[in-house]
Amino acid sequence: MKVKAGKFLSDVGYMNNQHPHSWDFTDQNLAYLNLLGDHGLRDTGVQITWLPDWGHYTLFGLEAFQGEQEKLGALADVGDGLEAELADAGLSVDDLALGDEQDGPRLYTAFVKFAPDLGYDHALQLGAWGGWADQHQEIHGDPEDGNLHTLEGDAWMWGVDAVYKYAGGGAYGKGDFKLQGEYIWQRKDLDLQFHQANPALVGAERQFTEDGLYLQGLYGFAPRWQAGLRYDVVGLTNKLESGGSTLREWNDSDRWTAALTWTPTEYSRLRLQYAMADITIDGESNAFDYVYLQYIMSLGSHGAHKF
Amino acid sequence: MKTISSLLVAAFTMLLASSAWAALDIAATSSSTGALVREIAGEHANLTVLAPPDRDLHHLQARPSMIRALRGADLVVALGADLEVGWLPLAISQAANPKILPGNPGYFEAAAQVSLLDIGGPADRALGDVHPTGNPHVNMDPVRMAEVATALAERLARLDGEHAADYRARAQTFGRRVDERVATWHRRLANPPGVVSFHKDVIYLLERFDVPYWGTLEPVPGVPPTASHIRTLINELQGRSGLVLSTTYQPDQAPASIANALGWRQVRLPLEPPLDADGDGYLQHMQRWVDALAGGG
Repeated sequence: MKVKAGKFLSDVGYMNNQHPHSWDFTDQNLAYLNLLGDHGLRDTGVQITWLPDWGHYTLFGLEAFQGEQEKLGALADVGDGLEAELADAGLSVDDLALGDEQDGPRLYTAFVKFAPDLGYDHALQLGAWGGWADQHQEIHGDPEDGNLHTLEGDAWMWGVDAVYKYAGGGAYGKGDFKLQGEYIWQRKDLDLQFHQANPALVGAERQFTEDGLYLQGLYGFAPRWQAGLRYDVVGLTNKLESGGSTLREWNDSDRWTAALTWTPTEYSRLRLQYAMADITIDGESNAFDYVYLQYIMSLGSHGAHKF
Repeated sequence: MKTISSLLVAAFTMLLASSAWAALDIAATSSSTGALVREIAGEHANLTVLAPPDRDLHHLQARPSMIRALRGADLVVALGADLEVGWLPLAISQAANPKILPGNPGYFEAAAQVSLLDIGGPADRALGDVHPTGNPHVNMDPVRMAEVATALAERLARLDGEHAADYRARAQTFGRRVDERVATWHRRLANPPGVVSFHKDVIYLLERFDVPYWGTLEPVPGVPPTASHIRTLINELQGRSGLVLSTTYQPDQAPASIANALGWRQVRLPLEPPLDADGDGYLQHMQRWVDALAGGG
């Protein structure tokens, strides 16, 4: 049994506890980016894990977090700009009818990981997790357009993850292979708290469901050289329901990414990455191409080689 | 009655099983430390070797199977001096097993039991992957490994007092066998060639037998050979007669090209003995390196 407290990256999923400098691609995958946030689920809280003395690696964990999140369990942020706009429309922050209770913990997770012993060359780890936020707030619309409305309720998520690694002992990672994928599903069960245009809607249910996944592979084709390919998508399911009927549906956004990484030494890394994305913004599909050139240098003591 | 006797049989089987559990669970990071555990602890230990001999111990990851093996271990035997720093501390911390935390009797480092070479260099990344605590590749010196075996016997005696005399006797026997072999090897290597190696992982072997060490193909530890460094080496060593050594997990290109340019012999051997080696297996493994130095490899 192990307890850890402080501000840390949650151990849910496979990618979540990895720091950006150890990512295999320059940027966060779309599923994490949209459903957990750019740096994943990171918060102040307590974690308890249990690694039973069983024949195969099995890890159970529970976490409780304060809930300072942008995605799961977000609290609406009424900034000065919105406050001024509200005043112009003859409204005050109190009219938004959002709870001001901000005490944590408000976000809880549970996870399990299992890794059968496949010998020295092969490794497989499977994981499943769930997360629940007992408070979630959103503000939509614009007071100037007369369509401002606020939502409050709770939110929950679950995910499954798998990673397979082959390490054959080739020089500097030559011949090594890694395949990893995760699926994440999120639901927000909210009620309208305030509706500028139609006050009769207050109390109506608004249920948002969105999911996403990524699948990526990495191959060491020469000593110190890796080629990577990733497909990520968010919004395979992407809908708003109320009382069992669908009010709106949105399209998904997806992307293909290829990366070439050179690791001249243990302490430096150079990466060239190209991505082709089809991103849905306000219901419109937009094609993007991205090119990144990234140089990572690690300073200080020797970093840990996480699985 | 039948039920009772089968219950008795079951109870007896459980007793037998629990006496088997009384053996120490030991995790060795490499097959060389594993060989010492096998030699000194013998049947009193259940041994797991965390890394196979064809891997570079600098570059491993803290895999779930390692964490699993460390979870219930009574003792972890590492080479130490930061060689396993990339993965062992992380794996130990994730195993949540206080017995094997550094500083506790369940944590044993070979390098901490003997005198080290290359101690006290600056901890400067410009000099590559240096280990200011000293060069960790002590497994390449049979004499130091015999000293490690003696220290390991004391540690085992502390963890399992019942078999203390056995552990000490086995370490003494191993020490005698090492002494005999080393005496033979000194005679065999009376007139050794100079050596260039890929990484500074053979220094203990060369120093033990007074073999001249003329440099490494890596410009600084952990940084792969560069064309200019190879050219400098070739210019410096032109006209001399020597040997190029590398291990099986290092790329073969640079050793082959320098051996070719200088007209030297090139030998590529595993740095670690076979996975199932005991004390004899370890000495046979060192014999291959001695043969290589003597010209028979």
